[in-house]
Amino acid sequence: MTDIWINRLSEYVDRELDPADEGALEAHLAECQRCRATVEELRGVVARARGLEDRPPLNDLWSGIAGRIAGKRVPAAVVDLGTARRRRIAFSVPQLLAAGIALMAVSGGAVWLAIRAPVATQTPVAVEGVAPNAMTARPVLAADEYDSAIAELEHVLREHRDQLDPETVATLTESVAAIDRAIEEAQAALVSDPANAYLNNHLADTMRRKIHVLSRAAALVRTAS
Amino acid sequence: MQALKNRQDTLQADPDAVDATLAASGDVHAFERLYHGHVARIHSLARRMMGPEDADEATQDAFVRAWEKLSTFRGESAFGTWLHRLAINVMLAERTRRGRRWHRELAVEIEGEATTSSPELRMDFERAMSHLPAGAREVFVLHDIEGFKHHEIGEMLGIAAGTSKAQLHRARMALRQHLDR
Amino acid sequence: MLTAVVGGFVLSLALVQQTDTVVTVRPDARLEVGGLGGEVVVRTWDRTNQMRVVAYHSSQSTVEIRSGVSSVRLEAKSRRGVPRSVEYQVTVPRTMDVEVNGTFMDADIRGVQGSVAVETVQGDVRVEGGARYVRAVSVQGDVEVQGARGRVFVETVNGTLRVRNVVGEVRAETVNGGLFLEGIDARSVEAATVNGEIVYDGTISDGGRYSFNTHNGDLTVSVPERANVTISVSTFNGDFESDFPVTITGTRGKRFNFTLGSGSARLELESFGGSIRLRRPGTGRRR
Repeated sequence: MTDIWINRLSEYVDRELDPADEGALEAHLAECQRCRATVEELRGVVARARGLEDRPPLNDLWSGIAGRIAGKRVPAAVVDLGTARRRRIAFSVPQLLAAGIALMAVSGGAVWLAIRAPVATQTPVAVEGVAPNAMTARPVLAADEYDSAIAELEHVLREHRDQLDPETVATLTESVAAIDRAIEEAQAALVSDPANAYLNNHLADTMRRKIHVLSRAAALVRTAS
Repeated sequence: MQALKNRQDTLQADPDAVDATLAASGDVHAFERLYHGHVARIHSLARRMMGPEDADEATQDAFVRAWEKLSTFRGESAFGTWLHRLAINVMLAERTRRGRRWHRELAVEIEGEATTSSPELRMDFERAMSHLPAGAREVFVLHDIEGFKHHEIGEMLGIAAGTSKAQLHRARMALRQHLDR
Repeated sequence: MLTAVVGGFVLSLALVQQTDTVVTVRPDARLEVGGLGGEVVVRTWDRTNQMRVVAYHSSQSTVEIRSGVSSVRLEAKSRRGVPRSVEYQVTVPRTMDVEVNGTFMDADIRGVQGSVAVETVQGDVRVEGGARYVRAVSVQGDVEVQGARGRVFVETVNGTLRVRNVVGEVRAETVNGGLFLEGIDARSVEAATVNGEIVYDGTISDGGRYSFNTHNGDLTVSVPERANVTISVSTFNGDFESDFPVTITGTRGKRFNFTLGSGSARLELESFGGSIRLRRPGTGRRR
C-alpha cells in the first residue's frame, strides 16, 4: 500500500526534483498506474487553482473603509507664514478648527491659509439596516506638497512632450493654461478678501485640478515611452 | 500564470498610476476608484487565506493599510501588484496575531484514494479549500494561486521550505477529490 | 465607421482585412480591448456565452483574441512596430463587463448591463447602459453616458460631458467644456469645470449631496417644487437669479445660504465669474 514516491509527486508536477530523482520517478510512473493517475489529478488541482476567478464581496465594504480612512486624514497642524526664511509656526489642530481653517496652499502667495470644508455625505446604503457615513472631505495637501507635485509633473511633461501626439500636447497645454488663468484670478480676488472661505476653497480646488491634469499628462507620457 | 493579473498590454502603462498619485495626495474619490478596480481580487485572496467569515474585515483592513501606506508606493510596480503584496502582508500579520483560531479540520484524505469521488464529496472547489487545515490552505493559496515559491512562502509563514512543500502536497491531495467536472 | 482621419493614417480599403469570429465566453467575464487607435463599438445580444468579434484592420496587423477564464482581451498585433488603427465591432452577452483603453480611440458601447470602463486620449466616448460602475474618460473628446445604473464617473479635459437618465451617483469633471446632466436620479452628484457651463436637471433627494462648481461659466440648476434642500451659493464676480422666491441675505462677493423645505439635502453652487440660476424642472433650460 505504501509507495515511496507518492509524497514527491507534487514536486514532480512542479518540476522541482533534481534530475536523478526525476528520472527515477518517471521510471516508476511507467509502471505505476496509480501514481500516474495521481499525477494527473494533481495537475488538475493546479490548473483548477490557476483558473479560480475573483469575485467581489457580497457586502458593500467601501463605506466601512471610507469611514476608517476619513479619520486618518487629519490636516497637518502647520501654517507657514511664507517669510524669506520659511519660518514655521505650528498651531494645534483644535486652534485651526476653531478658527474655521484647516490646511491648504496659496502658491506664490505671501500667506498660507488653510480652509477646510468637511462634508459628511450619505453614500447609498448597500447593507440593510446599516447607515454608513462616508466622509468625502475635500482632499487637503500641505503647502509645499502642491508646489513640488506640480513642479515634478511639469518637469516630466517638459522632458517628454515630444513623445506625445502634438494635438494632445496642445490640448493639455491649453487646459493647464486655462487653469492657470483661473488660479491667477482666484489669487487676485484673495488679495482683497484673504479670509474668504469660498475663494480659498476655490483656489485649492483649482490647484487640485491642475495637479490632476498634469498627472494625467504624466501618465500618458509614461504610456507613450 | 493567473497569479497576478498583469495586463500584458505594451501600449498602456499602469492605468492605476494616476489614481494612485491622486489618492496619495488625499483624494478619496481616486482611492475609491482603485478600490472598485481591485476589491474582487483582494476579497478573493482574503476568502482563501482567511476563510469566508473573516474575508470582509480582512479586505477592509488591507485597503485601509494601503491608504496609510500610499506615500510609499513609488510606481516601480503596478499598483495592483503593490496592493496585492500589501494585502498578503496584512493577512499574514493578522494570522500571526490570531493564532489558528479559524482552524477547521474535517477528515482530510492524505494518502491517495480512488480518483472518482462520490457525489456527496463533490463540493465546490473553493469550499473544499476552506476546509483544509489552515497551514496547508495557506501554502496552497500562496503557491498555486498567488505564485510564490517555497522559499518565499517559508519566509512569509515562518516555516522551512521543506515544510511548505509537504503542506502543499497535502493540500493538493485533499483537493483532488473536489475538482469540478 | 471611421469618422475621422486617425492620427494622419487613413485605412486604405485595399489593405483592409476583416476578422470575424465568435468565441465562447463566460456570461460574467470582462471584455478588454486595448489599442492605439480606431474605434470600439460594443453591442449586446441574447446569447449568454458567446461573443462575436468583427475587426477591420490593415493587412499588416492581426487581431489577437486572448481568452482567460474571467476575461477576454482583444489586441492588435503588428509585424512592424505598433499596430495602427483597428475598428472593432463586438457583440457581447449583456452581463459582461467592458473595458476599453486606447489613445486615438472612439468608443461606442450600448446595452451592456455590466460595468463599463473606457479610457481614451483623443476620442469620444458614448455609453448607453452600464451597471454598478461606469467610468468614461477622455482628454480631447466628448463623453456621453446614458441610462446607467450605479456609479457614473465621466471626465475629459477638452470636451463636453453629457450624462442622461442615470440612477445612482454621478461625478463629472472637465476643464474646457460644458457639463449637461439631465434626468439624473441620484443622491450624490459632483460636477466641476473650469471654462464651461453646467446644467443640471434631476432629483434633489432628501439627504443627498449635490455640488456644482465652475470658474468661468454659468450654472443652471433645476430644483423640484417640493425639494428639501439647503442651498449655498458662492460667486465672486457673478450674479444669482432664481425662478422662485428665495430669501437672500447677501449679494455678490459673498457666500449665502438659504433653505427650502426641511433643508435635508445639500446643494452647493459655486461659480467664480459666471451666473448662477435656479429653475424649476422643465423650464428655461439651456440646450
